Amino acid sequence: MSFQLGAALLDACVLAILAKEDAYGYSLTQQVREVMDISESTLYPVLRRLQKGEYLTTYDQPFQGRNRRYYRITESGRAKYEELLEEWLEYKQKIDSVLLGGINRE
Amino acid sequence: MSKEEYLKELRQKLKKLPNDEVDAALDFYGEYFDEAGEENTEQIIKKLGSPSLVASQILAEYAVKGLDNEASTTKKGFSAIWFIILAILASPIALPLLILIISLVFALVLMFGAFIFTFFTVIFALVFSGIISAIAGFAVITQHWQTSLFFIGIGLTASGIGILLFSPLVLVTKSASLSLAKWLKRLFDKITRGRKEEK
Repeated sequence: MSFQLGAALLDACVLAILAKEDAYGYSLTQQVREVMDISESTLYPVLRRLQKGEYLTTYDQPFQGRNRRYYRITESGRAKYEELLEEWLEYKQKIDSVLLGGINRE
Repeated sequence: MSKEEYLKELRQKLKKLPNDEVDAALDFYGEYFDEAGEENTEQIIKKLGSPSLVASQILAEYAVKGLDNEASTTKKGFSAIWFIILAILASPIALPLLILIISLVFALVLMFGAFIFTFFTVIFALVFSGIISAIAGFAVITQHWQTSLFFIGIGLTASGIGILLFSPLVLVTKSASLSLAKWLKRLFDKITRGRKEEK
């Protein structure tokens, strides 16, 4: 993809996915990778940071004799998500108004 | 490379971090390998990149974590700079480029340190020489009170200026070290994100 991906957008995507349902590291990474061109190792530091900021919590659940660590969004995580979403919509609209403006020229 | 070897190397590269950080990262990647399935180990390693790359991303993120909250201090700024240097060292960048980047960062940090050191030295010298001058003034008070007054006056003025300048300088040092750390993190992100798909 030619467009650069910022940390805020990555945070927003992770929070959005977790706002829908809890997920464990591997599935979360795959979900984000469906929409964004990130390497598989990009997500862990992001999750760790969001967890430290108390936007996410974790809980463990056994699965086939081993452990799965699930991530769950917190109340402040939801607030952060809404804040980021609003900013994104505003930003997207501005970019759209410029980019789409070129189409109707002729 | 097996999963165990990979995780062992990752632990090795992360050892400068606090234990709970290291354990959390290894738990995550251990689970990651398990989820992908044993038969896909090789493929996952290819997708994740080398343990060095994974470690450098964790180190860089750790470096700036907490720089944004209000309790930021000069010490935090400097430890962040240190962790970013570690992150750059851990990242699998071609050697000549690595040497170039490290020397640039090193020169920058050194220059910054020298600047700060100079300012603190000047302030210290002002206060110290001020005190000496005042003491010398007192010493000659019985011989020539005009001279005495002159030296005491100069001494107190110099000390006063030094003391006045001290806290603004501490503030400047603090914010400058924090912005230097953030700037280095951005530089690091640019280098590693651009290289993520490389084998």
